[in-house]
Amino acid sequence: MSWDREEFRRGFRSVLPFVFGVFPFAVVAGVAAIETGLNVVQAVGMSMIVFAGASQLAVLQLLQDGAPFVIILATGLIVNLRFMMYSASIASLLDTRTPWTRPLLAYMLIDQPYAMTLARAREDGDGDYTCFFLGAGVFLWGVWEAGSLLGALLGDIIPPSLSLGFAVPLTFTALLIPNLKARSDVAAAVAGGLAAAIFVPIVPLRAGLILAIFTGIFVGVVAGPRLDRRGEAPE
Amino acid sequence: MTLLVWGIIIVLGLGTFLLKGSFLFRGRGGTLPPLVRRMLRYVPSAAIAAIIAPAVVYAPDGALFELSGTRIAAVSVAFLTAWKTRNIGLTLVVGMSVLWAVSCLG
Repeated sequence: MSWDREEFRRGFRSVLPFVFGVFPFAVVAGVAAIETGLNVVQAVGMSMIVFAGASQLAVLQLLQDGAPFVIILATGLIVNLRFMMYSASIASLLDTRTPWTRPLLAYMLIDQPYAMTLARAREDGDGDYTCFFLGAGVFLWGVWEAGSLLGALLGDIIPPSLSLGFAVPLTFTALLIPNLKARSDVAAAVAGGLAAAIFVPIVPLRAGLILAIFTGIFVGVVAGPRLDRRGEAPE
Repeated sequence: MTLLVWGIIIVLGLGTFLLKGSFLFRGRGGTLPPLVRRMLRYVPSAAIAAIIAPAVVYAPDGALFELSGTRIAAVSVAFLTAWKTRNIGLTLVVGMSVLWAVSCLG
């Protein structure tokens, strides 16, 4: 990898439109952390160390419900399993020969820089897009941390009577839509949602969420070939 | 609580880092078995829907399986907003407004 400032800037510009989504999401994550009982250092620490929004909100919810450590951890990791898929398909486009870049690239591997780098490679062909990827990643990292800090500070002053906790499911509702590309995705979502509405209140140890996620995955995998026309569901 | 919170932050952070680095640390890309790929494909849809479902059909203080019309109304409008605009900020504003409006009226 040779340092290319223009590529870094290009990466940064590619994710600019996502700021309108990532920033409110980060604020919601910060507020949710405070409402769960975390202090500001823990709230921002979570956003810095975990740096994966959906799993952060999922574990906060379970913490609030008093779930056991192992269940909270397992749920968070299941939500983040998709990163394995990202890691497999992006590795050939990034410089992984230099050992010191590997941890940095892994840390920065989140949804939008991944999507933009793959889109870029589809357009311009195989190559080394490390600077482009880092430009996108570093910028969104800053947006995520700033939003989390703002949310954590706001969380301390917002009265609970405003039911701001409801912002969490609303944010996820907006995040769900882009994932519903094929009919089988809708089937997986409907099955996961229905299963959660039934299991979460009654399954012991707060394990209902994990059970519901697996139900959704199972329905997607089984129903996929029937519901999706050939070529409609890229893997 | 403090120990539990930091424990989760650190272990989840490390686990997530290892998942993100699974192929990057090996220094080359690869392909996952087809069944694993098919399963991973449905993780986001299934997980997000499962996370939101209980929070949008039940009120926090309601009885077991008692549906909350207020929340269902708010999330339905929010869903339509998100679907049409793909805008998280606007979805939040619209959803919260409906929740507050219906709570005040009811």
